[in-house]
Amino acid sequence: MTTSLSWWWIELACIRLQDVAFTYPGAATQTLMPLSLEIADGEAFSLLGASGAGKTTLLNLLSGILQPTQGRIFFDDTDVTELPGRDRHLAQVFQFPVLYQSMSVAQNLAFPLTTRGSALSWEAIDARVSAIAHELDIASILQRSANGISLFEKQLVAIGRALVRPDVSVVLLDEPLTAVEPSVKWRLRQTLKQVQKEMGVTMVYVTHDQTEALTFAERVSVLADGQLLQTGTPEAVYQNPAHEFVGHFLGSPGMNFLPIDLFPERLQQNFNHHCAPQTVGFRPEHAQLMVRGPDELGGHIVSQRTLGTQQGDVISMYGVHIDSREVFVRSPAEFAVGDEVGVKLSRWVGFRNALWVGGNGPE
Amino acid sequence: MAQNKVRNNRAWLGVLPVMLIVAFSGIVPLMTVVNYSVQDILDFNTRFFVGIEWYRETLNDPRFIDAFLRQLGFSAAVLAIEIPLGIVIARGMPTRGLRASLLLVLLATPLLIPWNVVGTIWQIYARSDIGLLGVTLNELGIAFNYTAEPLHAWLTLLAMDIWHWTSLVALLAFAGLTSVPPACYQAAELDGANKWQVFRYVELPRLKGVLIIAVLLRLMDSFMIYTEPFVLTGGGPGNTTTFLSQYLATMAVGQFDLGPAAAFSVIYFLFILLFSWLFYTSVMRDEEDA
Repeated sequence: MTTSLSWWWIELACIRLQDVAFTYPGAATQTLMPLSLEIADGEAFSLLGASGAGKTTLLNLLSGILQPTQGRIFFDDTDVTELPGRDRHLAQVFQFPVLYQSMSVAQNLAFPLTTRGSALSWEAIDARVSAIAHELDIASILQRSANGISLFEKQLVAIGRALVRPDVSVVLLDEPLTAVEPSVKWRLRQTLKQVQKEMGVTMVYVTHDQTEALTFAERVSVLADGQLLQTGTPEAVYQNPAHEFVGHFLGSPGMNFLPIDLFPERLQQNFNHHCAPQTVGFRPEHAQLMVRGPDELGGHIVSQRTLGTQQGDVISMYGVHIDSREVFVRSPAEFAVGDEVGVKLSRWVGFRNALWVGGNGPE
Repeated sequence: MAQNKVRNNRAWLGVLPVMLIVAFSGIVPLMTVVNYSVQDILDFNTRFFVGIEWYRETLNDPRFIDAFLRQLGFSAAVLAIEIPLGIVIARGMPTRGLRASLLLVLLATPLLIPWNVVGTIWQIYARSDIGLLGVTLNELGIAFNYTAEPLHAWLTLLAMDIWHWTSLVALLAFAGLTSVPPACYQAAELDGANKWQVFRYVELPRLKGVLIIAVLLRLMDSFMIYTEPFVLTGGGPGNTTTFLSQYLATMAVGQFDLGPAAAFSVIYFLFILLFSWLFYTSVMRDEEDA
C-alpha cells in the first residue's frame, strides 16, 4: 500500500543493555540475572520464554516502570537507566488493547501527539493520524467510538497509537496477540510484520509463543528462569540451541536428548571426534526410522501419530523408546507400534553441562 | 413457538411471591397515601372527597415552594462538593497495605453512626458557647452562631452532610479506581499524558458507573434529608433550613392535616422519581452518543 513511509521516523535508536540485572525488593533471588543485549536500529526483535521467565520484567526495565538493580541501559549513546518512561521515546502495546474508551478512534490515535506540548500543527496531526490509519487499514472506523469496535480493531488502534508519534524510537509489544481471537491472529501478525518492515521501526516483541517469535523476529532472545540463554536468528536458535532448554523449548515436540552412552560405540567415537558431548540432541525431523541393523541406535515404537503427507508419503510422528527414554521421530509411516527400529540421525547437536559444545550442522 | 409461550406464562407464578411482597411493602402504602390525598379527613369517621384540591393548594403554597427551592439548593450544594471531594480522597488513598485498611475503616466510620446521633454531634460541636468548633471560631474573631445566622446554619448543615456522606462517595470511587488496569496508567504515562489527562481520560471513564450510583444515592438521600437538620437546627433560624421533609412532618404529625400532607408526599415522591430519572436517562443517552 504505502511504501513512502521512510520519511516517517525522525529518530531511530539501537538499544543496549549492559550487565542489567533486577531483583524485586525483598526477594531472595534475582528475577533477572545480569545480561547484556543489543537490539539494532529498526530491528524486529523478539523475547521468547515461558511465563515467569522474566520477559515482562525485562520489558518493564526497557519501558522505565522498573529500574535495574545493576547495569545500565542505553538508547543509542544516551544513558536512559534513570529516565522515566515518558522521556524514553518509546511506546508499548499491551496484552489486551489499552484505549482511551471515552474517545473516538481518531482521537485515540491523535492523543500521543497532543501531549507534552507537542509542536505539531493540527493539520500535521490529522495527516499523521490518517496515514497511520491507512497503513493499518482502520481508516473506515476513525470516527467510531473506541468502545464500540471489535477486539481485533481495538488492538490495531492500540498499535496505531504506539506508531503515530514521530519521536518513538522503539515499540514494545507485550504478547499483543493474546486477547485476539485465533481466527484473526495471523492477520494481526501479518500487519505488524508488514508495518515493521515498511516503517523500519525497532520492535521488541515479547511472547511465550515460539511460532509468533520465530516468524516475527529477525533475532530472538530466549529467556528461562531470569537468564538470557541465547540470542540469535530464528534459524540459529532453532538449529543450534546454546542450551538444552532452548532446544527443548523450541519446536513441537522439542528437541530429543539422549546421553551419549546410549549410542553404539561407532557413533560415540564420531561424536567425541567432534566435540566430546555428554548429551546428544536431535530434532524429530533430523532422524529417520529404519529396519534396525547392528551398530545402530535402536529402540521400539510406543506411539504413532499421523501428521499428513509430504511428496506423496504419509508422514508420522513416532514415539520411540530407547533404553526407557522416549524420543520423537518424524518419519514416513512404514512402521507400527511395537516394531523394533533403528534411528539414524542426519543432524545432531552436542551438549556438555546442558550447554552447546558442537554439532554436525552448519553453525 | 406457541408451546414456548404457554411455558413462559407459567413463570409469572414464580414471580408472584415477589410481586406480593412489593405490593405490600411499596404499592399498598403508597396507594393509601394517594387515597388520603384526595380526601378531607376531619376525624376517623368524617371524611369528604375533594379531588385534586390538596394538590392545587400544596403547589401554590409559598412555604412549600420555599422549602422546595431550599431543598434544591441543598442537594445541589451537597452534590457539587461531595462528589469531587470523594474522588479527590479516593485518588489520594494508598491502594494496599496497613495504611489503606486503616483509612478504609476511618472513612467508613461516619457512615456507621445513626443519623440522629450525627445531628446531635454537630449540634453540640458547633454550639458557640460550649462546642469545640463554635468556640474556636468565636475565639478566632468570627462571630459564629448557627442558631441565629441563617448562613451559619446552612454552612453547619453542609459541613455535617459532607462529613457524614463524602466517605460513601470516596469508598465507591476507591472501588472504581482499583478496577483500572495498571496497563492503562502505563500507556498514558508513555503517551505523555499529564495528571489531569490521566484522570480525565483513563480514570473518569472507568469511574462512570460508580459515580452514577454515587450521584443517584446522594441526590435521593439529600433530597429526603430529615433527621439531621431536625436535630441540628430544627429548621431554623426562622424557616431558613426547613426542608421539604420537615415541612411535611410538621403538616402530618404536628397539625394532623392528613389530606394536604398526603398530597405533599405524593408530589415529593414524584419529584425524587423525576430527578433520578432525568439524571439517569441523560447519562445513559450520553453513553449511546459516545
